Amino acid sequence: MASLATAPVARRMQIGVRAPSAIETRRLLLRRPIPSDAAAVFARYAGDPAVTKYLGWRTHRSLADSQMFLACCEAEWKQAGVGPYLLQSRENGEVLGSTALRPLSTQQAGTGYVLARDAWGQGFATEALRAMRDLAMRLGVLRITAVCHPEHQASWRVMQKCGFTREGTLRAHAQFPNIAPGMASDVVCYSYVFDTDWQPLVI
Amino acid sequence: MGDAKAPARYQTARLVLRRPEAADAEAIFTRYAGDPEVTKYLGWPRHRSLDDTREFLAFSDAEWARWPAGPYLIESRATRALVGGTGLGFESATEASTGYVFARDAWGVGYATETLQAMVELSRRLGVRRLYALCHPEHRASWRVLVKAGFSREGTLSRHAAFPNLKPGALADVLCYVAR
Repeated sequence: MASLATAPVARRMQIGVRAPSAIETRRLLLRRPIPSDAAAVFARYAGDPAVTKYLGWRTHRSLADSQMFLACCEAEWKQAGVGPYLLQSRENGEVLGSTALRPLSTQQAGTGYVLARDAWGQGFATEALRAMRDLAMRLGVLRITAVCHPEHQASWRVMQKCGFTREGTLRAHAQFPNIAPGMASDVVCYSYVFDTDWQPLVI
Repeated sequence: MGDAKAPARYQTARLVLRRPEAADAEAIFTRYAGDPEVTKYLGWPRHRSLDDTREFLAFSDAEWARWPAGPYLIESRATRALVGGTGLGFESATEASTGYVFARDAWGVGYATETLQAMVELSRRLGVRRLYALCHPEHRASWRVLVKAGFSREGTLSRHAAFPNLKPGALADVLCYVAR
């Protein structure tokens, strides 16, 4: 037993952590969102039912939902020193989607990604996930995790490409409000460990 | 949705599970929380003084105030002696973790299985959809109990849990079990 009667989980990483507000990869600019991104967020991905199908948050119904999301981003960045990033094409400046790094405890973080439909199939998710993985390492995180719907093969392929290991299927652990509203669904969990001594446990 | 609040007392065949009170500090400390051997594989640092135990009791009250349940103490119905601790650690309305610790003289008589079955039953009543338990990969006695109580292993979480009595400051791989 490990979790009972432990102190409440820290919701930020080491004191003083501040992630860069912009990161460049080969084709992408990852940057901290600003309130004026609402229209692009809504039009490019957050309001699209096909894009949001397997996500943990509801498809945005109106611009107000996207404005709310951006307010939450702001709060998250202020509180944790890190948070969501918008993905922008370096070539034409277009918003392609978003990702995030979220502290889960002092040494653990979670991530995820979403891409506009016209940005699928070109390796952008892999590029974004590598950027979050490397950022996590720079911030001293020991373990980064991502979960996805068991049927969302395109998503877990990305994690495999980035060297993540499948840990298992967690029963009734996640909400997929666009597929099964109000239900707790099973979810596949992947992790990447930065500890150089780490080897997969064989039992 | 299930019941709003768990009962403060819950009986099984041989045990009484009850919500901890301030007056329990000394018994908790001397019976199990201060014992290096019984706390070896636990997720919290062994109590060094009664102050640590009082801190746990404050944590317990906060959990009970915020969630449908929290920690429970385990007593023998026959002797009234404190034999260990368990509880539900809520993370959301539908997800909770559980665990158990027993005084050395209460090992090997099936109390852990009996306790775990009670936690499963209780969690269902409270509307928990996912009840899980984490366990150190080398703590075979503990995962045997989980399986006996109807849990199954869903995976190994890499560098996920702290075992401060084994290796302070480090995160270790941990087995994750879920109630079926």
